[in-house]
Amino acid sequence: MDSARPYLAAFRARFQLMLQYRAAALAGFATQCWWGAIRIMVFAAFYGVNAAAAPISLADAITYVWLGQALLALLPWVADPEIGQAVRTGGVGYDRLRPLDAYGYWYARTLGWMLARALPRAALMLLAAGILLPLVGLGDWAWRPPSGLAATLLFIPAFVLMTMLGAAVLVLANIVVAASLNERGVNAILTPLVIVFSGSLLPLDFYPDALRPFLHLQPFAGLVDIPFRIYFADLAGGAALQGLALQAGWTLVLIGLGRLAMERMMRRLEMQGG
Amino acid sequence: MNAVALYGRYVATSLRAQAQYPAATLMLTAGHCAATAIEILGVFALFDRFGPVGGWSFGEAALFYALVNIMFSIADLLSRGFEVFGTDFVRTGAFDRVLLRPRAAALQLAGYEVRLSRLGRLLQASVVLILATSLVPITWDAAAVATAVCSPTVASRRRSIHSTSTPPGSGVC
Repeated sequence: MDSARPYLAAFRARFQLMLQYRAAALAGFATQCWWGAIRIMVFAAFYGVNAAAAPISLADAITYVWLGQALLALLPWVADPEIGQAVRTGGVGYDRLRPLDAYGYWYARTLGWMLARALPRAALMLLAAGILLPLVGLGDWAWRPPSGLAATLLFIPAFVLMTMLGAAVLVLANIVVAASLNERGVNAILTPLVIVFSGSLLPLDFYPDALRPFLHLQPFAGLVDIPFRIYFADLAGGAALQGLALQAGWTLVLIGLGRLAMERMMRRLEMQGG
Repeated sequence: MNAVALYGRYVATSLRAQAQYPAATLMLTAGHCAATAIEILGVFALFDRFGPVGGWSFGEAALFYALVNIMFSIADLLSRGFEVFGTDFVRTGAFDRVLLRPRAAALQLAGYEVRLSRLGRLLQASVVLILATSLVPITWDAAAVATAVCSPTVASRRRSIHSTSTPPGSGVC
């Protein structure tokens, strides 16, 4: 347990630091309510014409949107801005001096950054879309609880895995930032990739049917599409377990890749600033 | 130097600065093009699955999308200084320097960083406009062009006043 302490401390420090930005959480919450409402209206318009063509029910699509808005900050669509800064100022040198596993340290910090941004917004969103909306009589447009006990129990590991997978993607992005000294190029590539292939833009089943086999196997599906479909039991039983296995497998692959890349990057790292 | 010439000087300076890094500028332009193109992908996927909505076909929605994005990218090109006003000017104290110069602050902000990479979005939207034109029965006669030009001008002026610091692509999620 002692060996995990510095990583827990790094996680806690980053988590508590990010929790200080309450105005940012409120602003994020307001933005996400706005986009959530727009996206639900878009879905409602399309379902109104031709609901039979949809792969999931409107109620599930609405829950999908609210869940996605609540957990948006868990989506690894921009590299950690502190890494870019640390590389440009030479601050990354301190990370080299710590008697820690560099990958584990960055991973713990990234996890703290993601969760501290996501959890306050998720709590506010649950309050607004899950509790307030039904209370004012807009229950049809609300964020619904998981479909049954099995879905609830399966969603817990799915949530843990989606967070771990997201952090693995982000650390990989951070490593590229450290190698290229600037986060803009990485973000320009990462953002569209993650938003489309995670299912954040649209649930993956909404894309043309021919693409389905590929879309459901690629790593980003584990960030949004798989856990959310487990939540409303669109993936249940064996399919849900398969989804969890896919999430876990890709997480391990990306962590492995990240460790290799980190080692190479750190060997070649040139100190900037001074 | 009058205001227009000064603005021209600002634009030329920032373009020259970006020309120093041609590869980075090109990649950013391509990246920006891709980041904004995903929205039309989503719109296409929905229309492809559900068919027309309330009498609106994909081509018509794409036409609007293209016009909105063309106007947005032009506004974005011109209003960078206002977008980073808080972070790059007020917080750093650079705004004091702007106020000390005997020229309008708004002009100096407008001339700050005219980013070529924003042409990526313009390019992408123009491609969608061409595509949409071939999908819907529209003839670009004088009246149609006037409507298309006048309405975005009003809206883009509004955008430069209320510009936000949202990252590209945030509109989709």
